[in-house]
Amino acid sequence: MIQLINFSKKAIQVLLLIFLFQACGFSFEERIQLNADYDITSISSVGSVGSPLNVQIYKNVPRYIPFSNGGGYYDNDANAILDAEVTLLDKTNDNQITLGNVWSRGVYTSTEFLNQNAEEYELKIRTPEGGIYTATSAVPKKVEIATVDFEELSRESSSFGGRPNFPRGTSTRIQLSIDISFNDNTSEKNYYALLVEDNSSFSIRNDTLMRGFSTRGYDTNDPAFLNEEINVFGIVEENNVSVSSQPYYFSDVTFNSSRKKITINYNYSEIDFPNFVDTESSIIRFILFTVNEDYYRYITSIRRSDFSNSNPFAEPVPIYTNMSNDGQGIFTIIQSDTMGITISE
Amino acid sequence: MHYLFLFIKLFLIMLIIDFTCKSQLIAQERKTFTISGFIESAESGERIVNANIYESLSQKGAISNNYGFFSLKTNNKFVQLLISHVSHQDTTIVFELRQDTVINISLRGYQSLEEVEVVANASLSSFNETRMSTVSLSQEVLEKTPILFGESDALRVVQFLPGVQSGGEGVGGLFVRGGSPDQNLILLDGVPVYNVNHLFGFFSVFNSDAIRNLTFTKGAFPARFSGRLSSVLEIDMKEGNLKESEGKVSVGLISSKFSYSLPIKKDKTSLSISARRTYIDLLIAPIVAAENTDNETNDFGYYFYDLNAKFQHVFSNTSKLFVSLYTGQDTFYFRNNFDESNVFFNSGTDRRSNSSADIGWGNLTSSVRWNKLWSPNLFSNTSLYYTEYGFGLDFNSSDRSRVITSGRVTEQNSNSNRLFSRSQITEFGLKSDFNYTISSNSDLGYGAQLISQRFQPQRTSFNSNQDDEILSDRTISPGDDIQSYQAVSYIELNTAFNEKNRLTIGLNTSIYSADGTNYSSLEPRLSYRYAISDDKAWKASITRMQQYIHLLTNSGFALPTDMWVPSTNRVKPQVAWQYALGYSQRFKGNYELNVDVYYKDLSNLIELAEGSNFQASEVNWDEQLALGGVGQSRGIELLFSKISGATTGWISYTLSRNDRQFDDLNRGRAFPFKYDRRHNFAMVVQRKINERIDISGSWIFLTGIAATVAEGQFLSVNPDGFRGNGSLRLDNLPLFSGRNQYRLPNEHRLDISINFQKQKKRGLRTWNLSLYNAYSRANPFALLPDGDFEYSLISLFPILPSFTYSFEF
Repeated sequence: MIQLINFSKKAIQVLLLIFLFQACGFSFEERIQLNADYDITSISSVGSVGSPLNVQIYKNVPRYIPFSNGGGYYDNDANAILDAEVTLLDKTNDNQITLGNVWSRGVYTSTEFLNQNAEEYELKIRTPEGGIYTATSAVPKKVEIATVDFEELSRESSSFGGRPNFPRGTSTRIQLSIDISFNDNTSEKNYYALLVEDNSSFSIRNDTLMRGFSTRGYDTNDPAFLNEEINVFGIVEENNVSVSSQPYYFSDVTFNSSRKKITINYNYSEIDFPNFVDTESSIIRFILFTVNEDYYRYITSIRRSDFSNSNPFAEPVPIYTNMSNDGQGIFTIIQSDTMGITISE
Repeated sequence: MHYLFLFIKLFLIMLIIDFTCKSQLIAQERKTFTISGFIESAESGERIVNANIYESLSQKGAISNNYGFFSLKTNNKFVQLLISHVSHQDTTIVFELRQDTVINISLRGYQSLEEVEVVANASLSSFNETRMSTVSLSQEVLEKTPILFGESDALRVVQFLPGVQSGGEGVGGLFVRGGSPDQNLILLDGVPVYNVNHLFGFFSVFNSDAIRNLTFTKGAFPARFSGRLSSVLEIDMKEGNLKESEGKVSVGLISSKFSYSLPIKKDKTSLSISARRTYIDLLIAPIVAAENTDNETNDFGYYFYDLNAKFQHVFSNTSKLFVSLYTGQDTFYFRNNFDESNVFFNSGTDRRSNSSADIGWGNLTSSVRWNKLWSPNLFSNTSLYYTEYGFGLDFNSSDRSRVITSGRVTEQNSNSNRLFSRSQITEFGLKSDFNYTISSNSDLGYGAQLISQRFQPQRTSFNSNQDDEILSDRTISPGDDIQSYQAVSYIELNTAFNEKNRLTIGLNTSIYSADGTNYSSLEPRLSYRYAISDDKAWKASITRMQQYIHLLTNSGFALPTDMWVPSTNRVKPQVAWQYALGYSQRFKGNYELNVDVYYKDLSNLIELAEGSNFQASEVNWDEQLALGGVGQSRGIELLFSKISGATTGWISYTLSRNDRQFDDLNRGRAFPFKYDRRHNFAMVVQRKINERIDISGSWIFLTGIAATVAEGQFLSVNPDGFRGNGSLRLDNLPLFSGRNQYRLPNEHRLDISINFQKQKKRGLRTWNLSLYNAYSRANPFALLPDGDFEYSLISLFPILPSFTYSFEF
C-alpha cells in the first residue's frame, strides 16, 4: 500500500512538472530577427534662422546600426548618400539654394544664412537612384525673452580639494529662484523649448581658471511644464518637474496668447580657487527656442517611443516624419533667443 | 432619415397586408386555432430549445425558442404534431383541435450508451428560418467536441465556427467578422458577462456542466438584440431537474467540478448548483515550500473558481420563475517573509521584511426571470438583472531593522509601501420580451429594456511611510466614475408570404445618456429567406448595430486590466452596417452546407493613441484615444456539417480581410486590423467507436496575427543633443514600417480527446484522456524585444496531456 502511495505521488509530480513547467513557457522560446527587405532614406535637418543649414541623408537598411564612439563617426557611413541633389526653396522670397556635399558622411550644407523674413521653406532631395523626397517647414515667429529676474534664496559654502595635483578651493552652492518671461505668439498653437546653461564647469590652465558653458537641470512647478507628459526626461512628481540638462519642450496650451512667466529653482555652484586667476563672471544663460508643430510632433513621437519601448502596456509609437515618399526623419526651421544673468560673487 | 421613413412605411404596409390576408382567410375558411406550449425533457422537466414542431397535415411548423416555447396556428380539425430534437427521441401526437390549445410535450432522451440514431433535420444552422449567420449548439453537441482538462469549453467550440477566431494562444475573447472582443454581447441566462476568460483564455468562465444550450449570432441580428456590433452569444444555464435528483462529479489534473440538481418539490420547484475550482495553487504549494529556508518563506499560487446556481419554480403550466446566479473569480497571490536575527548575548541587529501581492478579477451576475404564457398566442419573458466585473490589485511591502544593545532597542528603522488599484463596471437592467403569434405564418416580437451602467476607471493609490512619517500618499486615476442610462425598444415581424418566401423585418431604437451627453439610434434589421426547394435556400440580410460601450485594451496582450468605458461627448458610439448573403443546402445523410458572404462597415471606432497607456495614468482616458476610426471587414465563410449519427462534426473555413483607418494613426493610412487573418480553418470530428468509447479531435489553422514592431533603425535628429547652434547629434531611432505590418507565424493545433464510459450500478463513469496541442506546435503568444532588433517569440502551451474522471448519478 505504501508503495502504491509513493508511486502515485511520483506520478502526480511528473504530470505536474509536464504541465506547470511547460505551461510557464520554459520550453517555448524562439529568437527571430526581423530584417525587412527594403531600404529607408532618412533625412536630418534642423535649421536655425540666421545660421547655415546642414542636411544629413542616409540610406538605412532596417537593421540595428551600431555606433563607433571613436571620433564621432558612424559605422554606417558607408550608407551615407553622397551624390544627391539637395535644394532649399525659400517660398516667401522665391529664392532657391543648392546645398553641396562637403563631407563624406552624407552632410549637405549651405553657408547662406536662412532668411530672417522667410515664412516657409521647402527641402527637395533627389537621390542618385532617382528617389525624390520633399518636406516643408513653416518658420515659427521669433519670440524674445522679455525679462529674467532672479532672487537668491540661500548660499552655502564648502571646501574641497587640497590633495596632490588638485588645488584646494571653495564651492558655494547658490540656490536661486528665477523668473523668465516672454510674450506668447498670438497664433493659435505655439511650441517652445527652454534650455539653461551656466559656466560653472572649469578647467585650469597655468594660473588661470578657464570656464566653459554646460547645460544644467532645474526644478519647476510651472503648469506648462507639468502639462507636458512627453518630456519623460523631466520627472514629474507631486506637482514638480525636475528637468535634466536637455531642452524642455512645452506648448502654449496653458497660456495661449498671453505673457508667460516661468519660475524655476536653480542651483548654481560658484567655484573659487584662491591661488588661480578667474577673469570671468558667473553667468547663467537662458535659450528660448520657438519650434513648429512638425518638430514638436517629431519630438513627441520620440519621447513616446522611448517610453513605450520600455513599457509592455504602452502602445508602440512610430516616429513622426514630415518627409514625403516614405522617407524618415525631420526637416525643420527653428528660432532662438538667448539672455543671460550674472551672479554676484 | 429618408431610409428610416421608407423602412417604417414598409413595415406598416407589411403589417396591414399580413393582418388583412389572415382576416380574409379566417372569414372564408374554418376558424384557425392556436396550438402553443412548451417542449420539455421527460426525464428532468427541463425545457428544450430548438425542437422542431411540425404539423404534418397542414405542413406547418415551428421551432421552440430559448424558453422551450412554441406556437403555431392551423385550421385543421385533426392535428398530427411531429416533435423532433437532435438529442431526444421523436414523438408524434394526434388530437382533435376544437379550440386554442396549450400543450406541454415531453420528449424522451436517448439512453446515454445507446447508439444515437440519425435525427432528421438536425442542424447547426437555422435552416428553416430567415435568420442567417446563426448557429445553435445544445449541450449534447458541445460534448462531442474535444474535452480538454475535463472541459468541453463553449467558447472554444464557438471559435471553431466560420467567421470566428480566437485572439491566439493566451489571448482570450472572440473576434467575429473583423470585430474586437468588446463588440460581442455575451449573455449568460440573458445577463451580460463582461469578462469571459480564465487563465489567459485557456478556460472560459462557462462551466460546461451548467450549460443547456448555446446560440451564436454573427449577422442578421434579431431586433431584440442591440448594444454590440459583431455578435451575440447566448448561453442558457440548465434549468434544473423537476423530476429527480441528479449530479455529476469530475476530478481532473488541475481542476475539479461538480453539479447537482434536485427537485425541492416535484414538478414544481428545483434547485441546481454547479461549481468548479482549479487547484494549481494547492499542487505547487509543496514545491514552493521546499524552497523555503529558516530565514525566508515564500508562498505563491493561482486559482480560479466558478459557481452557478439556478432556482426555478413552476406556478402553473403557463407561468414559471427562474432565479440565476453566477460568480467567478481569478486570484493570483504572492507572499514573502524574511526574518533574520544576528542578536547574540542581548546585542546585535535583526531585520524583518514582508511583501505580498494579490491580484484578482471576476464577474458576478444575477437575474430573476419570469416566463408567462398570457394566451395561446402571447408569450413573454421579463428579466431583472445585475452584472459586474471588477479588477483589483494590492501590493504591500514592509521592512523593519533594529539595533539591540544590552537587550534594549537603541536604533530602529522601518518603512512600508502599498500600491492599491481597482476598476469596475456594474450594470442593472430590466427587460421584457413579448412574442405574439399572429397567424400560422406570422409572429410579432416586441419589447423594451432599461439599462443603468456605472463605469469606475482604474484608480491607483500609492502610499509610502518611513519611520511613521508619511512620505507619499497619492491617488491617481485616468478619469472620474461615469454613470450611463439607456432605454431600448424594438419590434419585429416574422412572416412567410408563401412556402418559398419568408421575411423578418424589425427595428431597434435606443436612447442613451452619460456624462451630460445624449445619443440615440435607429437600427433597422431585415432578413429574407427564399427556399429554392425543401433542401436548398438563399438568405440575405441587412442590419445596423450601434454600441455605446468600449473596451480600452493594450494591443499586446489580453489582460484583466482592460478597462470598459462609456460613450461620452468626445467618444461617440460605434456603428456597424452589415450586409450578408447566404446559401444553405442539405444533403442525404444529414449533411449540410452553409456559405455566407458578408461586408461590414464600421465607424466611430476608437483605439489607444500611439504611445498612450491608461495604466496608472492621470491623463483622462478619453484624451488618450485615437477617435473616429473606420473599418471594413469582408469575407466568405463556409460551414459543412453533420451533427447526428455515429460520426459527427464540421469543417469551417473563412477567407476574410479586415482593415482600419484613423486620421491619427499610421499617418492616416489604412492598416490591417490586428486580428486580420486571411485564412481561418477548423475541423471538428467525433466518432462513437462503440457503446463505451468515443473519440473526438479538432484541428485549426489560422493565418498569423498582425503586429506593430520596430523592424530596424534609422538615423535622424536626437532632439536632446540639440543646442541651436547648427550642429546636430544624430541617433538611431526605431523604424516601424507601419502599423500592424509584421505578421507573426501561422497558428495551427490538433486537440484529441477519448472518453471511456461504463454504466455502473449507481451511475455513469467516464474516464477522459485528452491531448491539447497534440504535436506540440509552438504557436505565438508574444513577440518581445530581446537585444539589438532580435526578438523572442514566446509560446505558452506545448503538448498538454490530461485526464479526468467523472461520475454522473
